[in-house]
Amino acid sequence: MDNRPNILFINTDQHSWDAISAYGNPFLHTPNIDLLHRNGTSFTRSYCTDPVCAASRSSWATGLYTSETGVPFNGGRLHDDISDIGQVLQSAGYRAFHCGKWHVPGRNVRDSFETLYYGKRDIGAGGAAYYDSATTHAVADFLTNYKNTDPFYLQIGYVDPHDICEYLHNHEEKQIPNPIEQGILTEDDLPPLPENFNYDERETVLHRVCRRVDDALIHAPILRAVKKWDELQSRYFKWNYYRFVEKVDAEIGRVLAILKETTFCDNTLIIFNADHGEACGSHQMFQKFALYEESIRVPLIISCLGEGISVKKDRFDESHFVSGVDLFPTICDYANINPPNGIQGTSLSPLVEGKCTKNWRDYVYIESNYWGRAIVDDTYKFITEYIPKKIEDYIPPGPDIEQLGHAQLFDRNNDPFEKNNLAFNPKFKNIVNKYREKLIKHESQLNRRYIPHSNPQRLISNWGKRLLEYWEYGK
Amino acid sequence: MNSIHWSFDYNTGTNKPDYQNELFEIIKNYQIHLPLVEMDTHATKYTKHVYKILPNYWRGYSGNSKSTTKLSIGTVSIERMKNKDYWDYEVNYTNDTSGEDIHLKFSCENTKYRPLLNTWQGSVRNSCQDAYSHIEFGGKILDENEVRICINDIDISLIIPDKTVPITCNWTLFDVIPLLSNQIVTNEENVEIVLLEDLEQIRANNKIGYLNSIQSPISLDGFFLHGIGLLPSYWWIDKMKTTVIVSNFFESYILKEIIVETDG
Repeated sequence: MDNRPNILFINTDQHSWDAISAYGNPFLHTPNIDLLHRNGTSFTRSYCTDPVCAASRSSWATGLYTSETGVPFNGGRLHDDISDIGQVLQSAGYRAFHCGKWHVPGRNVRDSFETLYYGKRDIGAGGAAYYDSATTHAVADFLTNYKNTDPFYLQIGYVDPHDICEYLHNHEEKQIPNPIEQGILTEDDLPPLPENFNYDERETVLHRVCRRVDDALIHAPILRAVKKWDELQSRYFKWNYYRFVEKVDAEIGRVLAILKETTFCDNTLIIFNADHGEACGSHQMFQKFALYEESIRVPLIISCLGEGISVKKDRFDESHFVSGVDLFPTICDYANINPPNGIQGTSLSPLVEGKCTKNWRDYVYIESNYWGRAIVDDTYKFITEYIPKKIEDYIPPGPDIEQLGHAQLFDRNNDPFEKNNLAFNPKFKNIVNKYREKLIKHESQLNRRYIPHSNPQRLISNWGKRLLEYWEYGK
Repeated sequence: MNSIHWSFDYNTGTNKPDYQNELFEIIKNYQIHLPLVEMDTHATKYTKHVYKILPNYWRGYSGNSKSTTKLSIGTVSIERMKNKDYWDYEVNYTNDTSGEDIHLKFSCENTKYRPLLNTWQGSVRNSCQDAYSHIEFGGKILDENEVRICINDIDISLIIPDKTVPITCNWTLFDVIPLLSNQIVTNEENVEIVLLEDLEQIRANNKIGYLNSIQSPISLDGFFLHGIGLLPSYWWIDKMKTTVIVSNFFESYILKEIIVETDG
């Protein structure tokens, strides 16, 4: 009899770290994620490795940063020789199952996992309205029928609240009245504008070219549409976003309700995480792609609904910096498997058990849009960018201090909403330099690899060309 | 300006296939089958409505096939058979994107809210290539504030937060909103409703209210529905009190066909 725990990895998509009612957010109701919190530890300093679906998920699957995986944006291909979590677990006696969204390009999920459900047409970026309920049905079918004595790992990929992107697409080419004009809500029903709706416009070139200019590289039609929004429409966006979170919370609730009635409950570790956040109007941004807190900070709860696994319950871990690269070694640790050499993360199990941990990392490192980088620690948030060396720049950049472009520096204690970029203040020049060196030191440990495939190369070239034009001609 | 109402105008960005043309074609088909009597479901013995499902944005959930000429990705049919003082419902939902065929059987009181009665049954078949192929479930109302659902022989309990409002299956809203429409318009107030979505999921604290009336593509009165865990949706009712279009920003149900048998 194999007594290793079952592991349920439940992930949502584009879930703001604070869009959970147990964390004090009064504008939504998430009783089921709240239940996970009451039965586990919530990490409030949890960050994704890259604020976009495919890239972040490639880190979940491998324990590597996105410049290492071959998926440094919403494209690319996972390098063939990197083992994923499904392969590692299966080779160590686990049954590894997948259900729902995967979105790790270059790796066929059916080759690495036993798939319960992956859509009639393979699930892509969106479509929660069709896929999430079916995903829950598939999990219900699995949990009520699994008879094998081998422990299982089941990853459940919900699409919501990602469908908020479809809400935005709806605004691209038509006028939709705000909810007060529609007559369906009052102003009191709407959450307020975020504290940092107005922002410091001194951002990196990468950020401006990707997400600010009229012909932005990413979702330009959406950006042009939301620029015309009034305040009520921005607030209504957030109101709608919370309904999506509630929808996926209900799906999670059905899974937990069934799990509680099975014999697996006591010996099943539940990891709840999201691939990236949602800007929700902060810095007048919507969706993700940016290195601001709202996009990179994600909910992470590790819990057990029974008593069979040592988990500190109803607790916030507010001190440890946790990254998306940590999930892979955490899962290996609970499965009593040695993770492959070269992975970047660290097992969270000591933190889950509430044990004192010395030498835990004192910062997290995040990548974005191939050239973007950030470091977050207790004191400051540092954002910067690499300037493309040339158009055919197919090895993810770094570590090269001479190649760094603009910087953004925020005082985390006095400016938690990142409204005042200190990098342009001469008084902070030494601090900016210190963080540039910290970044370079971190990146010197990474195994950044050539991107060999033509489609991602084409995207890198197109984006690189635009960025170089910006750097050379300022347009 | 939008050429048709914004709540179901999804033509932009979806020129191939053409959303608006497909919408008009489906509605034209429904008008051929338009009953001569007002769709007062109290007066009918058996009614079947068939709706086409149109995704509102032509993205991942419909695949990347450029040869596709139709938007429709499925159908839902709602059948009601009137007995002495209650209604039997059967709902069949087929979705080519999720791969699920959902079959629901339940009974309701013969009142405007169509409160659920007794026990109900559901089954779901999945036509995807992966391990999940089907589930069976049933349910019943245990007392005023608890619903018990049995999925593949495992019982789970759902708590209803507001026990003063009857529980309505979401698929009966196609009748409930027309039945409540006069009350909502006349009293100028929203009504509250508790839903049991697909007979599996409680959705409490929902509101239905009047939106506005339109003349294109046909004369329709609009109502909205929103609540916790629900995307706002818009319900368009014709003069015969038939729900013709239901739309949220993600998809629309467009009435394609009506079959009616009247009493005596």
